[in-house]
Amino acid sequence: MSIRVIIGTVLVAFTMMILAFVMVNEPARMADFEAGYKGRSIEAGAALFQSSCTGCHGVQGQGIDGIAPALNAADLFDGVRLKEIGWSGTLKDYIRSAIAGGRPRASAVFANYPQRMPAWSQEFGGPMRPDQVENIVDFIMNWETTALAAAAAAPAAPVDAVGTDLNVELPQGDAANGELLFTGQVSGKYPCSVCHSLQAGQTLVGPSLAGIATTAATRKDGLSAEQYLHESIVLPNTYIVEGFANPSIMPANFGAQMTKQELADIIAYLMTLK
Amino acid sequence: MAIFKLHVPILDDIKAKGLKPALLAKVDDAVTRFTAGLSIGDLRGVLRGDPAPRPNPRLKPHADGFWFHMRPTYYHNLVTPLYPEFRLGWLSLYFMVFETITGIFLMVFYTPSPLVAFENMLNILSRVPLGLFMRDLHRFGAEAMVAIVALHMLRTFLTGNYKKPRQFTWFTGVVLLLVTLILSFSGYLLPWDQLSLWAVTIGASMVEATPTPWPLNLLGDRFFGDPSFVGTWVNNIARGGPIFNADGLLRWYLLHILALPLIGFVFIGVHYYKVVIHGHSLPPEAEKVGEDTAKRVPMDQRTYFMPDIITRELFYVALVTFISVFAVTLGNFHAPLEPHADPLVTPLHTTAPWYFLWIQGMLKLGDKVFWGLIAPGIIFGVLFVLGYIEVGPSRRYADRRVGLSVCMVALIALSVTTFMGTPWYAVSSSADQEVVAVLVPQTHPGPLRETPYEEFVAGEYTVKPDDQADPQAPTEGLKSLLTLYKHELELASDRLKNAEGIMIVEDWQENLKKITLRINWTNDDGTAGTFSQDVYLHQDSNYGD
Amino acid sequence: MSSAAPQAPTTTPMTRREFLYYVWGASMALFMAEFSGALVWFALPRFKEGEFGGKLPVDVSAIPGVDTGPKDFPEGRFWLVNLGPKSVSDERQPADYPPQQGVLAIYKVCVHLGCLYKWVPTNDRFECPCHGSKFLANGVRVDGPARRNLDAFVMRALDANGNELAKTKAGDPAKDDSAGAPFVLPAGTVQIEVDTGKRIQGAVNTKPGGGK
Repeated sequence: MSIRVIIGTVLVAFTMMILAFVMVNEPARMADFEAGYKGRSIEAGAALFQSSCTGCHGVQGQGIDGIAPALNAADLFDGVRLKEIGWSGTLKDYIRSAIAGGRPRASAVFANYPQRMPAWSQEFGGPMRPDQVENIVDFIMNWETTALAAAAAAPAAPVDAVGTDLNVELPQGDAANGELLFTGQVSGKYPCSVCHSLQAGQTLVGPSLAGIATTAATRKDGLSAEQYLHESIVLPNTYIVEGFANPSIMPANFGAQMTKQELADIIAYLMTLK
Repeated sequence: MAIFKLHVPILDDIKAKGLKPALLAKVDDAVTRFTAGLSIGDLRGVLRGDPAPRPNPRLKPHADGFWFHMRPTYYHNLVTPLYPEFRLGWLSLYFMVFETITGIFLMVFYTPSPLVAFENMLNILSRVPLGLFMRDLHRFGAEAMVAIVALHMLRTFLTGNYKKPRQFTWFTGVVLLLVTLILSFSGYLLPWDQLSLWAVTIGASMVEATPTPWPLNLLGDRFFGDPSFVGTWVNNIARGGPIFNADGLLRWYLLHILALPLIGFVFIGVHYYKVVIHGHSLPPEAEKVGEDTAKRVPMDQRTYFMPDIITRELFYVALVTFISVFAVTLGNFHAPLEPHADPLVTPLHTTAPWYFLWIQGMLKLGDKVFWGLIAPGIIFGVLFVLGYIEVGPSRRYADRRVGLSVCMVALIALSVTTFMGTPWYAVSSSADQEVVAVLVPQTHPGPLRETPYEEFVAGEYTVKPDDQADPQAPTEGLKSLLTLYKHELELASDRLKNAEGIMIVEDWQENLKKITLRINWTNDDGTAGTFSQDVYLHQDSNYGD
Repeated sequence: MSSAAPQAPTTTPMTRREFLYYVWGASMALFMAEFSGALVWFALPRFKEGEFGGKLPVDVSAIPGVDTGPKDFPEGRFWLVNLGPKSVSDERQPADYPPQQGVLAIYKVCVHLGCLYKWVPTNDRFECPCHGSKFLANGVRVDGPARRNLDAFVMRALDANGNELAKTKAGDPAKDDSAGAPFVLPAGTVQIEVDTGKRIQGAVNTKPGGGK
């Protein structure tokens, strides 16, 4: 009987020691766990971003010109974008609200991105739960260090931009290069193929460009096919094809982003689509 | 002239006897009242192990006290050692109390809403000191309790203690078994992670199979447009809707914390009362066949509750508490937390908790009405009435060969159906998905995620089952993963011909790597088949810890 | 209440077994004490940053200008005041409480019976609508049934790297004038952090017109 009492005391003492050991290590364990779950949130956010966001924001969050702004960008994290938009809260709140509630149609601030961003949170009719929205927020916030570090290496706008003056003289165009530019195979630059299908009758976002070389000449009186194409690319609102949105949702800044050679190449390529 | 006289009895005592004896008398008085009849001297006699004086004051707490009233004053010497009962009944009660206490602590930080339940779990595990400890204790206690209660039932059957006059005790015991199983199952849902939602969905979906007998099915068709309305109604009541939603979580939470514990404690009371009324029965070989002498314990065969039985019980409490605390700390028993519940995605290889694998196994055999409702119904039905139908007078093992053989067969059937309940048996999708699912399972982290982050070096690695050489890789972690990959492709080589497994590791973001697993193979008709799955791994995720 | 039967003696010497039982009992009592301590630690609520009860960061641009009146921070339940020369030379200031300059985070709850007092610009002071307690911008009571000055929160001034440049001194303001006192924001302050979980009670102030 005494043996039981002795062993019983020893067991209670050991239990106390284990409990004390656990209590001492608790703060470190909790911090570890919190960091761990932040990591898992970023992982889940990466997967969700891949399935839902890359179509408009690019595979590495670099943005697609005229479709959606870059998220992997210094101006998002250094406060410039927030100031432009007039957001008074935190960056995380801004990202969360954009994902959850979406973005309305083009405003003065978003002239370069005329398309709507859909609402993603179930709260506003979208498909995602609040924790999924939070995962994506964590993933995007994780670009902060690399985006700010890469800020110095950002390329400047092309010096030789074609502008919106329709009378500017264009050099000889290379249709082969034009095709590469059209399909976005030149370092992600203006992939026209995202919005313009080459299959007759298929509308992706804008009108199909099948046989555009023939159609272009008939669109506006007095304009040759090449002149019409030049005008539709740098000033997309001057002519809207029937049945498509007016004002046009085609980005209006291609003139500032393309060089004369690039515009000439694209027009040359489009002229091969009879 | 005094207007009133202040009468303080203690001062009179002190005057009469002196300060120290008076105080001692007061303390002795308090102790006697607190223990319902034992003075300090009696108590010390108990602790010293003195033989009981005559008349025996140690009977008074049992007669007059509340806490000891239901405990027997003495046990028979033959039921005091570990055999035949192994204290399993005492352990079952211990775990019920243990779960109630740890459960109440967890309730402080939990809200039963799908919007916040998972977040509450993260909070408990990351911001509440000892939150992980409490949760793991609660989980350990739950699983231990199911095992202990089942062993208790097995022991009671083997020693024939369900027979007359203990049939009703056995009946209440089966009720308690059901209460334990449903308590464990309802608790499973509360964290609201993928495992919770889908494991409990599988279990609860059986109630939808409740048949609507004739003529109710005709009534149902006429008035509700639903000929199987009984099943629909039972399912909707149980789950709060056709699938688990916020209402369902709340209902199962209330079941778990209120309804089942109340029923449990009431039946524990009845069960234990009956145990004491009939007495702990002696080992079968110690009695004449058909006799039940448990209540008539001769004077020389008595082990008194104080101090012997209570010392053994307290010792057992200390031992099991130590084992539980050890298990969840140094023993690394941890309750898992899978990703947030997603009602739109069922993970491959979802299973029921281990104590329900037997049902999941049976469900793979055929019609869910028979295997999911009727068969378990028959099994439990038999268990309930066992004491009333198995009326052989002898409890001796030699006289119950048929009964013991049936028990053996039942245990084997239980093991087989449990194995059948695991994903190993008859649940698989296409071979390519199965191979990838070995590396990145959908129900737990698995080998790839548990490999330390630093072991993943950016690059493209290919394995082919035909290759003789072992896969080459810059780190040990990658090498063992690629070896596993190759091995799985070899096992699947009959279904995936000319297979080639590729693993691409890319540095994707700060502290985040993207790992793509791709399998290319040739189909039987000559076309090429390909399957690809992406996994993201963050440096801090700690899957391996 | 003594029984008629003879009781076992209380004076016999302790045996080893009896002693071991006492030791076991003591160990169980110690374990209960340890467990109760752990339980208290477990049950104490924790506050997230930004939640009342936790720490609230305030960007330096959001701090009111010197002597421009208090600024309301409803989610933190405090007024932020920036005391300058005008408040130091306020003639209503009771002599017992030396006026100080700098930034202070004052708890919005009145120290009398818990109402939220208001800032009344015409009278240039805080006035409580419930029972009429009145306090100057620096929290010193000048009138009303309140028995002490307004409470303040411990505040830290942080630079761009998160280093602490200054912190409100804790302690009892009745005994130590510098406890709970405002401090001028050091150069390089980018953010202040108000810890709404740490409150410094105001100095005793019971004389009519203000005073100890």
